Amino acid sequence: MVVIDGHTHFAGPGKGFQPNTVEEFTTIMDRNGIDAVVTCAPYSSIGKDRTYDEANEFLAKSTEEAGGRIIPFMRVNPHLQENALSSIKKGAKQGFRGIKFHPRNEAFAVNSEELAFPIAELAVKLGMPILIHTGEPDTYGYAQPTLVGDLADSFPDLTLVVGHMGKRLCEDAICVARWFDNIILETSFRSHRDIARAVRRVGADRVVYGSDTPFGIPEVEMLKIRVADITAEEKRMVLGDNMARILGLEVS
Amino acid sequence: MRIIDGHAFLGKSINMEQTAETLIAAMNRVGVEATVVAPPPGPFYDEANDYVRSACEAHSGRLVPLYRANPQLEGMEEKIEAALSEQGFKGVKLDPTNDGYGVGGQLIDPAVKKAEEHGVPVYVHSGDSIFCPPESVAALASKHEDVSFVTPMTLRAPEAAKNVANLYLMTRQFPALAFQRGYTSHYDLDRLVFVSDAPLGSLDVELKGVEMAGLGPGVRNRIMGGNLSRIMNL
Repeated sequence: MVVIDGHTHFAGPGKGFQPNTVEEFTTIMDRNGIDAVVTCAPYSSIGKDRTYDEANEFLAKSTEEAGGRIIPFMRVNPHLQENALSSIKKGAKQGFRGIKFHPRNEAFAVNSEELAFPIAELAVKLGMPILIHTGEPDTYGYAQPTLVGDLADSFPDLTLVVGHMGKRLCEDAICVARWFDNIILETSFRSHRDIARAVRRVGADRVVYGSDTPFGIPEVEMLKIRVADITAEEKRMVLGDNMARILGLEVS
Repeated sequence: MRIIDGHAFLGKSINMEQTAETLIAAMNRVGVEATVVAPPPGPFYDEANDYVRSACEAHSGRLVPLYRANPQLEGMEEKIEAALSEQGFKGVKLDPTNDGYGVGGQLIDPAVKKAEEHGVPVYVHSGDSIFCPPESVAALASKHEDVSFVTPMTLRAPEAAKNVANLYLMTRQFPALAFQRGYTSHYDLDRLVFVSDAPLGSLDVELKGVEMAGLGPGVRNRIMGGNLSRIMNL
């Protein structure tokens, strides 16, 4: 059985909470039986130039050190379009496997034709999924799951992972995932019941485990999957098989 | 160490079901001594309260009943009086979101008065609708200083409860990271109450949160039962 944490954050010393080194991160993984993590820079590592260039470079270097256990996603600031697009192209060559949108931190609507669509278009070309923070209708509702539905509708060949399953807007997230096949739900901060409901309503192949480390605790977030009222096979899919499939990873 | 689960649901509603037997089995499995139980949300509460009452009678000392009241319904004051004086209920549960009323008006004062007369706490669901922001629950608690109020720890609740000595916060989902990182100055540790909210929440998951928080024995004892024992005379 493969276990992949589908949503984590990682930055170097002085750039946010632990883990700050590959060793610290692999220790957490080992403690929890996690084979690999999808990770991206936290907001705390944004540069003074408002880009994530330095943070992405740190991730690229860490990925090399981690022996396949770190699966890096690019973090970009969509307001700096030129930088965002060139960073993603460069990142694809460095081994980045996806993109992370945080509509609240970066203050943009995830269905913005001006800011999000060009990046989505590039993601399709590069075969990169986009992991999107979603949640409460704060910051003008930029992070609401409904907007992810709009993006999914416009880019049917793009895989979109709804981070935190919409938090309190979980039911909205489940609805948009039912409407658009290219939407995947990520479980961090949701209850064991919400996870079971998502599996029932959307399908076990469209739900992925995430802890949001270091803002969530893998021991707690993983236990929610283990106690959820779903089958052992469904748990296996949620805990790792689905993310491996989405990322095209070969698992033994 | 003593563990008291400060809030779980007992009975059946449209979106949940928990019998006394399944709850007791879960408590035994993880070492919970007692659980405070309330009927789940629903349109009418008489039957639901009866179920909770009989379950608590059958499991006296393990299950502690809250009387779920909708203060909009006729005769509620008399029903609360009977519940607290004759039927063994140990507190009142109000759910402004489910029942559609605001906590800011006079409507619930009679229910709170009854709780005060009997020296029992009032649980007020809050934080998820315009009917019951935590600030309104804090204002209610300030108005009734001799009654202990218990409410969920939603985003703004710690700040709202900060200076309200009779307002207690339930811990689901347990704020383990805040304890790990020492960010607990906005909590009064004498006013935190461990809850599972089962079956909406998971007792196992909440206890894992406590374990990950790395609490010292003194704090742990207070949160896991000491605080609640004090206000409910358990």
